[in-house]
Parts: sequence; C-alpha cells; structure tokens
Amino acid sequence: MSLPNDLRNELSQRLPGRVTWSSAALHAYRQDLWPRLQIRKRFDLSTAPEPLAVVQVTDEADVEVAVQVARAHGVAIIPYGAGSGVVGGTIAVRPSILLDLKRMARLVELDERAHVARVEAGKLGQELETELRARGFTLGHYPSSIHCSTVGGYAATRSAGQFSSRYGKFEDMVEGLRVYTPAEGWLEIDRAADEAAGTALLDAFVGSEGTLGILTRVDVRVHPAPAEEAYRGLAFPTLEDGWAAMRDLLQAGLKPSVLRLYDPFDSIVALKHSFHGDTPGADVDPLSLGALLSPLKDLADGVFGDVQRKALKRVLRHPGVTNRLIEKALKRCALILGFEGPKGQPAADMSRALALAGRYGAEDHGEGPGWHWLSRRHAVSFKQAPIYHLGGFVDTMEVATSWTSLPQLYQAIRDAVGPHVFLMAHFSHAYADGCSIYFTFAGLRDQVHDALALYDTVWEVGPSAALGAGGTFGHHHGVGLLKRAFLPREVENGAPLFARLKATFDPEGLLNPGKLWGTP
Amino acid sequence: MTKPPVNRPHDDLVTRAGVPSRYSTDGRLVLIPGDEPGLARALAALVEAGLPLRLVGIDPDDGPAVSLASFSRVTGVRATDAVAIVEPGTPWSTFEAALAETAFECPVFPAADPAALVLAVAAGRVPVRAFNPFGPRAEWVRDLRLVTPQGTVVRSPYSPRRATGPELRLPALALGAAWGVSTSLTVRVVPRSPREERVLALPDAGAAFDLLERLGASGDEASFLAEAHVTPKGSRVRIVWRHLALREPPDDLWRAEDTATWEPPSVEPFVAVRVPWGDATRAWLAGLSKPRRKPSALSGLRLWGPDRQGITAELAGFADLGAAAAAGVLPGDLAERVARLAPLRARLTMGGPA
Repeated sequence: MSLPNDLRNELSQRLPGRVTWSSAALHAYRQDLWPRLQIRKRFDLSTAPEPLAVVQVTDEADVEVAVQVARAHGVAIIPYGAGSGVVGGTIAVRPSILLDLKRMARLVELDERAHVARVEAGKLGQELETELRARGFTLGHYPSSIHCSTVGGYAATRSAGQFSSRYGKFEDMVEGLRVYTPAEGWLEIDRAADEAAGTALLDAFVGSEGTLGILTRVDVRVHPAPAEEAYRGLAFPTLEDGWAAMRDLLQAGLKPSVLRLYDPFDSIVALKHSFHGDTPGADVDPLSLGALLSPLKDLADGVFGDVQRKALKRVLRHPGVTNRLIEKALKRCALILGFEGPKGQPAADMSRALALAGRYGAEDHGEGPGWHWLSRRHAVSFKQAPIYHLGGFVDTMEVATSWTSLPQLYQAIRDAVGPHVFLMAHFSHAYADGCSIYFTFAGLRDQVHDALALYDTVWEVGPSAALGAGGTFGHHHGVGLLKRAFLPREVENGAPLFARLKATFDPEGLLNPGKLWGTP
Repeated sequence: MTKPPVNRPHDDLVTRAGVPSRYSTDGRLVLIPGDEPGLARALAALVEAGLPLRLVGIDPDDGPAVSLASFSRVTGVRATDAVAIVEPGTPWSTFEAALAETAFECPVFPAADPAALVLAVAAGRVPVRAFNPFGPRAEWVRDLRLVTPQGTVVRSPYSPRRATGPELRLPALALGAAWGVSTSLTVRVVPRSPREERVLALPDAGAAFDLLERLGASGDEASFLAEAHVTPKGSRVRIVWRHLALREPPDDLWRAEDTATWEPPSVEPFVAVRVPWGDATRAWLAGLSKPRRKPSALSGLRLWGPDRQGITAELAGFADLGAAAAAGVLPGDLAERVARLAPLRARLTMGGPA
C-alpha cells in the first residue's frame, strides 16, 4: 500500500522535515536483522512489507503529533530504534508509520550522586557508554549490537549485555520511564512511585516491544567506571563441571563481570588460539574429526578460500553427523572469567573465584584468553557473511532455565535442532538460580524455499523443545514475529492479562500490531 | 467454626462458589477454597456479585473475602537453584521456620509483622526489609502460579530472566486479586552463612546518612543489611554483614566508630518510601529528624537498604501513604507522582483480565 495523499499532506504539514517516504528509506526501514529476512534478501526476494512513511521524531511533541495523525487516518505506529533486532519486532503487518527515535538521543541528565542517568530512547548504546565513561561512569550494558542498538530498544525487548552477571539485564537497570500511550497520554513512571502506588507499570512497559506505548526516555542505573579489570581463561574437564562452577560462584555472592562458558565445540571455534598447552579441544582425535572440523575452524580464523568454501558446504549439508561426532568426541570446555571494580577488588574476587572453580577441576590458562576474548568480542558477528554467501544462514537461539533443568534443556535443543543444522552453544548470562544457553546454528540449502523451510523447521522444533524441557524460549532477543506463536505456551493463559494492559493503554490497537498477543 | 449470624446476606455467594465457608463474629463471610478450582470459583462468585476481590489477612476487613488458609505449605526447597516454593497463605514466620531446617534462609523479611502472609509480603502489601540487593520484588519473587477468576491458571516455565513480553506476573501481584490469586510462589533463598554485626553510634541524622550512602556506594554486594534508627538525640546504625561473598567487611567501616547497642524501635504502623541520594533528600531527612515543638504524627524515622541509587525511609506512625501525604512528611513530589499513577491502578484492576 502506498502512502495516501491526505496522510502524506498532513504528515508533511505537521511534521515538516521529519517525514520521509522515499523508496530507499522505506526499503531500508522495512526490515530488521531477522535472519529469515536475510535469507530472502540473499535470494533477491522481497523481505517484508514497507511502512507507509518514516517519521524521524526529534522531540516529544513530534511523537504526540505522529500518533494523533496515525489515529486520525487509521494506520498503525511502530516505534523503531536502530533496527538491530533479530526477531522481526518492527515489521509492519498492516499499514503503518514507523517512528524512528534515533534523533532523540540526548543524555539528558546524569545524577552522579544517585547514580542514575536520564537518557532519551534513541541514544545508541555505544554513544551512551562513551559519554558516561568520559564522566567516570558506566552503564555496564554491552550487547554485541552496542554500536547499532538504542536504549529504547533495550528496554522494549529486555536486552542483555555481555557483562550481565555483574550489572544485570536491562530490566534490572531501569529506574524510570517516560512513555506516550494513545489512551493515557504521557506517563512518567519511576520506581519509587510505581511501588508506592502498587502499579508495577515498569514491569509492564519494559519488554512490551512497542505494543503499549512509545518509550521516549529511560532512567537507568549507572556505576562508577571500573578502576581495574581482571581476566582469566579456565578449562574444565566437562560441561557439567563448568556449569557447577558457574553456579557455585554466583550462589557464593560473587559478581563476575564476565562469566562465559563455551560448550566443547564453541570452545574451539571461539577460543582455540587463546588457550595454551592442553587447550579445550586438544582431546580431538585428528583422524576422525580433524577433517570435519577444519573448515569451521578456518571460518573462525577468517580463512575462506575455495577449498574452505567447499569443505564448509560439506559440513553444513550433514549437520546431524557433524553434531553427533562432536558430541561424542569433545568433552573439555572453556570458560572466560572476568571481574571489574574498584582498585584491588577484581584481583581479590578472582582469587576467590579460582579457588571455587578449582573444586571442579578447572585448569587456569592465565590472563591471555580473557583479554583475547575482550578484544575480539564483537568479531563473531562479522563471520556470518561467508555462510550467507554460500546460500546458508546463521542464527541464534537464546533459551534459559533453572540450574536443575539446564542439562535437559541443553540436550533437548541439541536433539531437536541438531539433525537439521550445525549448532554450538555458550552460557553467558548466569544467575544464582539458573542460566541462559545461547545456541548458534548454521544451515545450508541450495534453493531458497528449501532454505526457508529449513529455517522455519528449526524455529518450530527449537522453542518447542525449550518449552518441553521446562525452559523459556527467549532470554533476551524479544518475541517479534519470529516467536509469537509460542507465547501461549510460554505464558500459559497470559493473553487476557496482556489484553487488560492493551485495553488500558492502546485500546484501538494502534501500536505495533500483530506483536506479542496483539492482533494484526 | 463460628456460629453464623442470623442475617447471612451472602449465602448465595456460598452456593455459587461451592467451597467451604464461615461467618466471622462481625458477620463477614469468608470463603475457604481448598484447591485451585475452588479458588477460581470463589473469585468468580465475587466477580459475578460485583464485589471487590478481597483476601483475608491481606486486604481490608470489610465485605466477603477469600481465605488462603488451605494454601499454607512450604512445598519445597530446590537447593541446586537456591529457591524455595511456598504457598501464599503461609505465615512468613512459618516459612522462615521451615527454611531453618535447611541450609538456606530468605534474605527478605516483613519489617513489622512476622505473621504476615507470604502473599502479602510478595505483593508489597506489607513493608519488607532485605539484605542488599534483594529489595526489588523481581529479584526475589522468581516465579508464581496465578489462578484467575475465569478459572484459568497462568504459569510459565521457570527461568531466572526472560524476554518474552512484559512481566505480567509482577503487575498481577501488585494489583491485588483483580488479575487472579497466586497459589504458589518460588522465592530466592541464599545459603545460610556466618554473620557479623556492628552497631555504630553517630551524632545526628546527617552522619548516619553519610555512612549509609558510603555503604551503598561501595557496590551491590549481596552481603549486608544496614539500617539506621534516627532520633533527635542521635542515630544508631546497625550493619549486619553476611560472609556470603567470601569477602571481609571493609576495615575502614568497622573501625570508623565505637560499637554501641541496638535497641529495635517498637513495632508500629509505618509507610516506607524509596528516596534517592542527594542534598534534597538529606535536607528532607534532616527536617524530619529535628526536635519538634509540636507533637507530630511522625513517631519514628528509620532508614534501611542503601544501594548506589538511594535508601528506603520508614516513616512510623502512618497507616498508609495517604496519611503520610496529608501530614506533609513525604519527600519532594512523591505524593504527586503517586497520585498520577493511582488512577491507572483502578483502571487496570477494573473487571480483572480483559
């Protein structure tokens, strides 16, 4: 559907200089980084319906006007940050105006005494962190998308960063919100008033994925920038040993900034060069597995010539065999452990952590692996392109559960997804009572419809297996279009509760329709 | 069973709910469901009658109410996950006694009434105190089952955190019974650990404020409980240090002052408000702790739970926030901020789930 003239005229008049409907803009804004759309793009298929127009709001008055105009013309509004989502959370399912918030990007205020920063929702994560660091503070939120994701997006999707075991997930950081809702207008919600009033609105709006209101400002907890950091690489005899060490560490009250355990194969792909001597993966029998694994290791190393391309295709065409062999042959796994904080504390905490980890057979490989990981922690995202060039795809599935159910969850996903795609996992968001599993998977088919069918199969059996094993299907990527079919099983009988929120704040269904429990 | 009064205006409710019931001495009907279907029927009967959903021991004592007496067991402690599963009608003291038989304890406790029901504590209906950083409800109420008036059970697979939409269960708790009543809560517990306790005598509220702010700024360790009793004649600060994180208390803190004695303030109604660090809060606290010429409704001031953002102030002598607001003792514009949100609570609870 193209932009109706009367809507175009009213947008132009009331929001001059902030509206675009150029084909280039609509083409760019119509999609996020959902890998299913990347597959379609790779095969030159259209990715997603275009929005009618994009409004690049500069202040709250613009937000209000845009919603008024949308309501008057019966079109939907989709709040949009930096488009780094991977679940299709901003895809228009009916005629919509996209509200790009990136021009609302000020660090409004930093209360250095109460350690709270007031930030406009369109602020990019890295820009915020840079400004905070310049003033001696840190947010402590480092998603791998930090350069291309916004504070509003973090709140809307319950994002998690790589240092979550010290600073928490984004919902743990939120102290307040300013939000515009079609029915109630502007709401200013702070934790103290929210608790005193008995409303729990912060819990309702955080994670609402643009369906209940438009977040324009977020108050977040900040921390003194760390004076020191300490890193270590540890190797464990088995995954179970690594899990037990992580659990003990957190239940003892230690708060590592980084606590990342890699399953045996991910240990090799992610960290093989940084561990010395008896590295994780050194127990691989080169005769049985070496040939199979070398293309994936080469990919990890950035070596990608014709030989590697052919070899990689071979591996990705037979994921079941590859996964089973790896499972049988590899046992040892690597953990990156980091602490940061005031002078003296990281080193002291590290020595306590090493003592605890030693109970589970941890071998200390020194500081190198940790610093290596830190310096290359965003590199993995740039290793996906070669697989797309082959006609394949890469995606991630972030599930979570209690420590009790973790082994079952890990195995359930491997059993369900492993026959279809090549997969590996790491465990990088851990809590005293449980842990998330971050599966990375890659698949390959020559024909686009086969590739899409394979992709859809994985996203059918994976979340289903997670729920069946007693876990959640989503730890920090949000729901979007990708996972919404599983919501009734994730929050059984939760739809009427969401409907009450929707009826209160957006009764006409203007905001991001077709997401969460909302109707298109 | 209390003898029913002659006038039993709500017998139709009993019939509709089909659950055991009794009348209290003041003629109040209490429905006593024994299981989840019965609870759903009881809630539905109240909704059909156009009556507010009230729970015994949690909501005000007027009108028909539902008792959670049949939901009062501690059903398990999952040591691997450091959580306990407890039913909502369990008195907190019973919960703590059950935990005492394990290697765990709950770092959260009712500030005034140890007999408060677990659900009242979890729903924020009675003020709680907690070891840092267990203050926010989301940090220690990790999971729950919710029975709705429509007879459905809202539940999710257990996960420490999730990104699957809004956290619907916490609003459900906060909004009272309108969205449903929890029949089982999963609560964070921590390994029992050695403790050290010090009480420091300080000359005034300002000094106590400084000390607590310094403690809060030291980090977000799960290691301490700090509280101050502030009086016009001086302040006492009590710090309980748990050796949970294998870390010793900071030497400079322990050596800073002489050890004094701690006399717990008498238990009386109070309202608790969270206030940020800053000069405005400091001035507000100083004003409250000054000797007063006229008798004040504020009968005591206590501070606890410092973290990097602020501290909780307990204003004794007030039954609810409205009374504290009327007396003009709330900080800054908190009363206005709460007043702006309060109508939303009414709209969200009206009619229950849509």
